[in-house]
Amino acid sequence: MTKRAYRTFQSLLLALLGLFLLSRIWNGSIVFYINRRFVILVLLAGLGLMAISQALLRSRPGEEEHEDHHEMDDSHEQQEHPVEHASFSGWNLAWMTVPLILGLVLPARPLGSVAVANRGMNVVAPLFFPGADQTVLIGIPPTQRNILEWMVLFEQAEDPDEYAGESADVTGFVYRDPRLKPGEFMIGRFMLTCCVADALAVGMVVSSPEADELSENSWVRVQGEVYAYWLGEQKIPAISAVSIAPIPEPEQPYLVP
Amino acid sequence: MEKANSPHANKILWWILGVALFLLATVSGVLIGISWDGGQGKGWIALVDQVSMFSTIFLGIFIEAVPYLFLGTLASGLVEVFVDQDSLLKIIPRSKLGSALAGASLGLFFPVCECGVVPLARRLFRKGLPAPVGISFLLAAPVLNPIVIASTFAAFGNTPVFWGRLAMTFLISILVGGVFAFQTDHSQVLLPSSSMAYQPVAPLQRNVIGQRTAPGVGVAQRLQKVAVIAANEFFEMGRYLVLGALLAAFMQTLIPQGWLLAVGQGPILSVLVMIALAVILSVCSTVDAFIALAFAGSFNAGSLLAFLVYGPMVDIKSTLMFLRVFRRRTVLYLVTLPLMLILLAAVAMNYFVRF
Repeated sequence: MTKRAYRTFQSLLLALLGLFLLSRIWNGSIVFYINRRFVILVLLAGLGLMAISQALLRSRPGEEEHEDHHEMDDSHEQQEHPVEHASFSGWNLAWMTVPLILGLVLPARPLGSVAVANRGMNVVAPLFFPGADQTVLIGIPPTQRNILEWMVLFEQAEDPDEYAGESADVTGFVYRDPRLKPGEFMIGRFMLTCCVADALAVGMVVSSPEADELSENSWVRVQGEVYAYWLGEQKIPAISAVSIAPIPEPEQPYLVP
Repeated sequence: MEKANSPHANKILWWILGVALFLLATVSGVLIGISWDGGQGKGWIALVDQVSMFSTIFLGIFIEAVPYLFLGTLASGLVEVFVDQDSLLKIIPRSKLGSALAGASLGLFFPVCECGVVPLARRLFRKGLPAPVGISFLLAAPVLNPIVIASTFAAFGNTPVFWGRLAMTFLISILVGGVFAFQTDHSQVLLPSSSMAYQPVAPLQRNVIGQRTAPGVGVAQRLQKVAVIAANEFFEMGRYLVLGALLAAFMQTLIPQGWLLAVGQGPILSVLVMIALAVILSVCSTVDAFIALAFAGSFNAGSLLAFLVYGPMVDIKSTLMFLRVFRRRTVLYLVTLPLMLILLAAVAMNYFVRF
C-alpha cells in the first residue's frame, strides 16, 4: 500500500466511522448501546472524526512526505522490513472495519430476554444508583412508577406490604423465569448505567390467567394491583394483572437512572 | 530483540482472534444442538439472538469508548506539536519520590481514561518523560483526574470507598512507578518506539515543525500535523480497543454472570471475583463507579474497592495497548504488581475495617 493510498483509506475509514456514529444518533438506535447521558460525547467524537478525516485529505503530498514517514513507521523494524510494514499498515486499518461491518450488517437490536438468560434476572434492586431514594419515589404517582422504582420502594420499605393494593402500570418485556409457577411471568427491563456491557436486568412478577399465552421477549404493558410476592426468603414486588396489552418495543428500551 | 517483537505481537493477536472465533463457532454449534430438539428451527433463532446480543455488547463498549480514545489521541497529537521537550523535562522533579508524585498527579491536568492515557503516555515517553514517572501517570491518571473523581463522588459520596479509591490508586501507582525507578536502563522497560531516542527522521521533521518560529509554519499546518498524528494513533490503539471489546463481548455472551456472582462471596473470593469482573467488563474508568454501585448490594466494600482501583489500571483493552508501548516483561509487571497490591489491600480491608 503506498503512503498516499494508506492516507486516503485512513481518511475514508475515519469519515465512515464518524458517519456511522452520527447515523446511530440520527436514527435513535444509539440508545440501544449507551446511556443517553453519553450521547453528546459520541456526537462530538463523530464530528471530530469527520474533521480529522477532512484534515487528512487536505494535507498536501509534498509536506506530508516526511511526516508520513515518521508517523507510519512505528518502530525501526518496519523501516527495515518494508514487507512487514505494508502488512502492518493494512491490518492496522482493517481492525477499524470490524465495528463498521458488525454495525451495518446486523440490524441494531437492544438486549432482550436472551441476555437475561446469561446475566440473570435481578428481583432485588441494586442498593444505590443516582436518584434511588424512597422519599422521592413515594412522591411519584403509583401508576407512573417504573419497574426499577417499584423494586427500590420494596427494597427500602420496612414492610413492603404497605404498598399492596396500589395500582401499577408498567411496561417491559416478557421473561419466563424458571423460579416462577405457571400463570406467572416476569416483566423485565434492562437498567443501564453506562453502556450495555453493564446492563442489569430487573423485573417484577406478573400473575395473570393469560400469562402462559404470551410469547417470550415480546413487549407488554401491564396494569393491575401491586402485591408482595414471596420469592425464596424475599418479598418482591408483583402485579396481579387486570390488563396485559402488547405494545411495540419502546424507543428507549432500557431504564437509565 | 525488538525486531522480533512487533510482528510477533501481531501474530499473537491473530491467534487470539482465531481462537475466539473458533470458540464462538463451537459454542454456537452447541447452542444450536441444545435448542434443536425443540424443532421448528429454534436453533437458528437462538443463534441469531446470541450473535445479535454479542454485536450489541461489542458496539456498546466500542461506541462508549471511542470518544475517550479519540480525546486521548488528540491530546497526544497536541502534545507532540505544541509541547516543548525541554520545558516538559524542566517541570519534572529530579528525585525518585518527587518524580513518582509528579507522575501520579499529572492526571489532574490530563482528564483521560484508560483508553486515552496509553497513547498520551507513549507520546510523553517520546518527549523524554522518564519511564517511572510515565508508569505512575499511566496507572494513576485514569482515576486521579477531575472527571473520574467527580463521577466517583457522585456515585459513592463521602464514603471509605471514595477515599479508598483515590488513596489506593495514588499509592499503588507511586509504588509501581517506584519499582521501575530502580531500572535505570529505560530500554529494558520501553519498546524502542516509545523512547526518546526514537527519532527516525528527526532532521527532516525539525525543518518543518521543529522550528516553531520559522515563517510559513502556521497554526493551520500545525493543526494538520495534529490531525495526522491523532489519526495514526487512533488506528494503532483503536485496534486494541476493537480486540478488547470483542473479547469482552465474547466473555459476556458466553460466561453467565451468575456463575461469578455465585462463587464470589467471602472476604477473599469476593475480591477476586470483582477483579475478574473489572477485567471482563472492560468499562471506561470515567463511568465504572456507577457500575460498581450496581454491585454494591451484593458485594463488600473491599471487593468494590478492588474493582474500582484495578479496573482502570488493567483490563483487556488496556493490557493489549500496553504491549504497544512496553516490553512484554514490563507489561507482565504492570499487570501483576497492581494485582497483588490491590488484592492485599482489599482483603485487609475486608478483614480489619468495619463500617
